[in-house]
Amino acid sequence: MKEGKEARGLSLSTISVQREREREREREREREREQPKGGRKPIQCRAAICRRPGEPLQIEEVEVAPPKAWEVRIKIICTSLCFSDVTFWKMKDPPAIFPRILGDEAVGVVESVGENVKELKEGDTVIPTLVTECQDCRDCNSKKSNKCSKFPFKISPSMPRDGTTCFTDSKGEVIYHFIHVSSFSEYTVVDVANLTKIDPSIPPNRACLIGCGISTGVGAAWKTANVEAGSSVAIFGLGAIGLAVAEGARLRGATKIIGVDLNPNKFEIGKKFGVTDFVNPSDCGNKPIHEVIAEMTDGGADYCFECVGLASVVSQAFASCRKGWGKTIVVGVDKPGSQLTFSSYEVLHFGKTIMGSMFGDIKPKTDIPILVKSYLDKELQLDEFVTHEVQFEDINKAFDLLLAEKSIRCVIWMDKQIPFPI
Amino acid sequence: MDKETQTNPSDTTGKPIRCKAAICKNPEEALVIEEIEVAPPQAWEVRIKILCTSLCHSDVTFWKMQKPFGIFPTIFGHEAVGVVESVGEFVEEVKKGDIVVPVFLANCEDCKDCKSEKSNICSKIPFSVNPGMPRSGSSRFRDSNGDVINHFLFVSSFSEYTVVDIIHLVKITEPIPVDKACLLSCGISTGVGAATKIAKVEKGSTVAIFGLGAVGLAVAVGARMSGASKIIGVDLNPEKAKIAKKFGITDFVNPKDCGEKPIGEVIAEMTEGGADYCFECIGLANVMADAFSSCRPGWGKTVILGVEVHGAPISVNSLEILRGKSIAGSLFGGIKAKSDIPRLAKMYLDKEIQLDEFITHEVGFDDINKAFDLLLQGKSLRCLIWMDR
Repeated sequence: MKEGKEARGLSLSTISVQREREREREREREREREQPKGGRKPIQCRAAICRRPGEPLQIEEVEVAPPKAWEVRIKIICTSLCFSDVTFWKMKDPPAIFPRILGDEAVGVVESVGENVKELKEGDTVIPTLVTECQDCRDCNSKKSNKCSKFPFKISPSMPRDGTTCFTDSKGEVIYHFIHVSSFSEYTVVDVANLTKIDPSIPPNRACLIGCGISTGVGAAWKTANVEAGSSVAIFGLGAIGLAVAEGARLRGATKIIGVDLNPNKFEIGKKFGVTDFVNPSDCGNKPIHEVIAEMTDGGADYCFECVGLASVVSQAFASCRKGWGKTIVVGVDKPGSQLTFSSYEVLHFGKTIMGSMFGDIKPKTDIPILVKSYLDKELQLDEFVTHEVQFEDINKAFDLLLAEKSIRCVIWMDKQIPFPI
Repeated sequence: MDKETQTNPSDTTGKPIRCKAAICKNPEEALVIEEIEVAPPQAWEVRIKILCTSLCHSDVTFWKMQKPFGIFPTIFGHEAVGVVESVGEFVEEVKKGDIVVPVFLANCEDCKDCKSEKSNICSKIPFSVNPGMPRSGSSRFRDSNGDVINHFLFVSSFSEYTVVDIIHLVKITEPIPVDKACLLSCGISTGVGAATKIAKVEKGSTVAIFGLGAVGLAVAVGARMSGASKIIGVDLNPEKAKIAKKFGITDFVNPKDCGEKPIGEVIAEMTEGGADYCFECIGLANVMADAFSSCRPGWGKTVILGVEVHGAPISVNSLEILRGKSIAGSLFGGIKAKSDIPRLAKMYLDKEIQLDEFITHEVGFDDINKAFDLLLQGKSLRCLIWMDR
């Protein structure tokens, strides 16, 4: 770090990143002293393993293989719990698989790279993402799609290119990956196509959020819906995703952002993210939600976002959008095989559109740096998303808090020291 | 073209007109040509002498509809061209002698929707299937017993004279032949509009059209004009393959010939994973689902144009929506009548779109029921009905 910057004074979290990196370099030098040069060895480290559905994660020692061609081994600085982790933690049937290292929202530092990896080197700060960007296929080359066709999205238990795994437990048994990330581990191996290099000056407990939830929500508003100034927006479900949609809509100049949630506490929280009006369906009596929203918005919202993951809520969102140009954006994921049902009469006669948003239509390598910069320029607000912070040993607390609807994002620090903000 | 000569123009202004109309008295019955009385136009209304009209499938849909949803007796017809005979109070946009095209979808040019590029659903007089005039709800038609005959879609063109609200009228000043102007009143405009305004087909796109009636073929015309590289037509009627080429269809698929293979797979093989744009031009929920499955993940858009009358919902897999497919619907293909129809007329005159090939049959008013037979048998695209023959 340059002297000049230090003289200006840095936030404690940034200082911790510097210290972390110094410590990492020291450990690296230790490892090199132990290892012969010219070959990377497996790393022994701690990981939180999910062995049975719905049971607390167990922190155990694992071995993380060195990166092969196109792979990168990264040291996770911090990670955060996302509802997708909870979904696959609870799930008993495929695509759930056990034992598994969950975690898809994180920030880390490159420890070593495999062959053919040109865009990253040791020491780079990176965000791994569940969405792949090979930058080579028709979809990656098109502005219209973030759905890489070379590595199509699936709830993968292994590495994308060859289907191998990189984790083994103390008995030598395979532990499965989680959607190409697996961040609930001190070290993980990620394909270069799932990694985005970022500006290291963003505090890690903000950077990790961009790995999944924030990108999904902000992207849904910016890219999928393309919310314009003066719009009215209705958001069904004020979890982290819904609140991120609100933040994205607020930044675009939406004038009315209606939050719909069964939990009355969400309104106070919602206001911090730009929610202007709150509707609790339990307080609407017999009046259907779409009528309530129509009254608040001159006939219906310009954009309705479903951020819960229930086909029935998608129908409500669809009914709540304005005739003529209303768009319904499906962000939440219902269980596999679920069907969305729409009245074709309404689609035709009311001119409504239905679209889905996967990862907010964000192309990781192009768009994540934009989100990072937006935060550093103090436009995109991320601080309020982090409601709790725990150490790695207490990772199960993050699950408890999310299930009890007490947290938005709980950040999990891998290292012993949690830096506290001033 | 010749204007209709009136021997005594001043005779009819302000008075009821006695004329012939084709009345449907009961669902699915042949229309009966009878003398009726057409009241003079009230405020905001215009009485028109119909020159020619054409049969659109939406007429057939409501002709078949059983009571209580179907309303009878009704004068059907909503695709037409006429001459203004007289105008009611406040009408300044058109005058006696003007050529006008009536449309089922209002365009007041004043409300939020009309002023927005994003919508063509006029909120001043929203679309509805109404048996009377839009502002008053009353009928201008009486039969020889003095009983009310119902209007249809605010047009009712199967009559020598009809009364239409100015909000449903487009003045035609372009030198387009009247029979071609008639076609722009509904079906062809819907198809061309859907391709250019709703889907916004761009050069090099791949398109799949489900249902090769006049609307589907008009989508093909719009897609071809926009530079689509592949326009796949899907229809159960093998005869359609022959005529479809004239309208720009590059490949024809008959689902009956696909065996066990789902249509979505067939289209995916032809288009490297799915068509960029799929159009449903029939009005059946299961075909809408087929269209949706045929569009490309990532950016594929499905446009619904068909009117589903059984109340069956569209059902799609939620994961497919998350994979980047979208569904949009539109009445009248996004067309704002007063601005877009004159534009389409000019495009026809500039030979950018074709209309002539849509006219497959022509009959005189007395043979209007033949038009129904031809359409129901799948033998016609557009059968013109000339009022004066």
